[in-house]
Amino acid sequence: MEDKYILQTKELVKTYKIDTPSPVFALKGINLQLQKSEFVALMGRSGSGKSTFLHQIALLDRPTSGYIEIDGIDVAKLTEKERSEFRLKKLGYVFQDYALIPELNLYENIALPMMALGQRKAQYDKDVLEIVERVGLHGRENNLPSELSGGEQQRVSIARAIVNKPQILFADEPTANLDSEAAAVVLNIMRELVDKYGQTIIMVTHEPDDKKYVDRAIWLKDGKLKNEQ
Amino acid sequence: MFSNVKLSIFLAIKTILRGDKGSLILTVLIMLVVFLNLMFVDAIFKGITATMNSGKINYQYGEVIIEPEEGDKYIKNTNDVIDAIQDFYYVSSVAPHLRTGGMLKNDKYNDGRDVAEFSAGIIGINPQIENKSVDLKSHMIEGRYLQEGDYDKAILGSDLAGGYGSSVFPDDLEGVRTGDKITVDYDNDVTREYEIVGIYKTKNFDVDSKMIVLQDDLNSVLGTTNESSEIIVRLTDKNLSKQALADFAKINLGQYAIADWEEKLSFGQTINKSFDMIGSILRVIGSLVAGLVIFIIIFVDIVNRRKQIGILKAIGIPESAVMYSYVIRGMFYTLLGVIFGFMLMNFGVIGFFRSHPIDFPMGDMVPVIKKEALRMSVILFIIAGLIGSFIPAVKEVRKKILTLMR
Repeated sequence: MEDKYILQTKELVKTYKIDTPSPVFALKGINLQLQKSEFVALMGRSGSGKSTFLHQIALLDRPTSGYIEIDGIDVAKLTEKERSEFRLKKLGYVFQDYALIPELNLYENIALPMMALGQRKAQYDKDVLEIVERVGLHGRENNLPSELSGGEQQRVSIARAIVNKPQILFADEPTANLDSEAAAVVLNIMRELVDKYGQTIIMVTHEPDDKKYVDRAIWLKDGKLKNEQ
Repeated sequence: MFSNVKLSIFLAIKTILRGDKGSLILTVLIMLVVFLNLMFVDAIFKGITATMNSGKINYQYGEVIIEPEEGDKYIKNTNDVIDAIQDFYYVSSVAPHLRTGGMLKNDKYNDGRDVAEFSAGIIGINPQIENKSVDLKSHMIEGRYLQEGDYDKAILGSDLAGGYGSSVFPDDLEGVRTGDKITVDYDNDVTREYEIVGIYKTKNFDVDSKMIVLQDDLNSVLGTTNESSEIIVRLTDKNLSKQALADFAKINLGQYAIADWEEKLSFGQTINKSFDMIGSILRVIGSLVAGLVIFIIIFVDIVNRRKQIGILKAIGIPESAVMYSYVIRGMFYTLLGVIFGFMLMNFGVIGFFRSHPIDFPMGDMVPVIKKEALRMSVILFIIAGLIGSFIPAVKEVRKKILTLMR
């Protein structure tokens, strides 16, 4: 496979209840290539397999069969510990429900991956504050998640996801819980990350309007890629 | 590894400090009660044995007791013996006793028809020096203590007098009161009448079943001079009793039977060992309960934070860091339980029982915390806490990310 792709999958299959008389085929052999600095939307109806696909390529789950390569590495060969380290160093995540740690303030939530990397505050302080500024939350560093709006929490979630400068940012329906105004802010930030900083983003969404923010949309239907637009 | 521990400590501290304060207080309270329970039962047992021992030492044997050799009736030249042992720096006081037996008779209505009889031990003392060794004076429940010149006067133990509350003796003199006169038929056929000037109660049944008269009085009955049946030796520290035994043997007291309180309390020692064994068993059971409580607390905590664990794992926080953060929290609850439990026990419970001792048949009992027992309880409790928090943490943290995040 060629190195120009940041992510590639080949014949990716995910089957649930595999040892039962009626196994569920969630993914039926997906082939996908993603270039660096691409903003891709995974779209499809509920149950189409878009979230399942995201979980496999984001290393949150293991596929039943098939090949996944991220940044030139065959991730199937990684042990659980190596996958964890890989996620920490090379991937970023934004979840639908923000997934912030309620007892940590905005600054601490964002700095958490840097702490896990063993960095001292002096090393990451500047980066964290710069990212806080970038997502428009300067001055709110000491606020707990409960003191922020949904849109603000999602911006913190994005900040946490990019603080360690990941190769790919995965976003699972990041605007599903937001009103249209907050959703637009979040999507604009993500677009800016791609345009200004060359971030690669894969986003699961069911909002057709979100297409205008992405470089391309990939449609899934019944566990297969439908077409590309 | 170090950064993982640092991160675990950071996560644990933040969740403790910024988490729900009510839950924190409730959790620590539960741990406190479990630890208190662990210590309390043991402290009660230790208190009972301490009460039994101190009763025997303070009113009966002293720390060291000198008796005639087998076959001899009295210690000859008692004053010389006392002079010899009083020179040791750790001897605080010495009290010779003359002992004999007799049939005590209480003619309740002075008509010779309704006479209560009871065979009992009679002790002759010198009130002036006795007071320094055996404190019966502060245990008078009626009348007064013996004084110099109290010839033909006596004080009675409450169990012997009768009518002063529950007694382990089936029989007594059926209610002798201060001012009553009783007759004593001594074993050597001498008969004397005594006026009872006081009744004492120590709750030591061996002591409370005796009659006490002046030593001079008993000398005249027994025909003895400068002789005693036993010499009670009080030491400044009961742990010096073995040294005293060795020293006394060196000054030609070898012709007497000298024993320390431990030898005299051999029956009590058996009880002590039994209590120690029961205490140890209860401690282990208590620790298992503590471990189970911590397990449940941490397990419920983790179940409530399952999604959070999934998130932490998803963003690449090492499993070990997440796991240790829960173990640290468990240990934090455990240590607070130990600290507050000990403080409440030492300053609250023990303090309360010091001012309101438990009325036991063998004396007023105050729970006692022994250093060794406390150390063992703390170690067992911490081990229980460690295991109780480690198991659920490992069990949950090792689950798949998507299972945790659902």
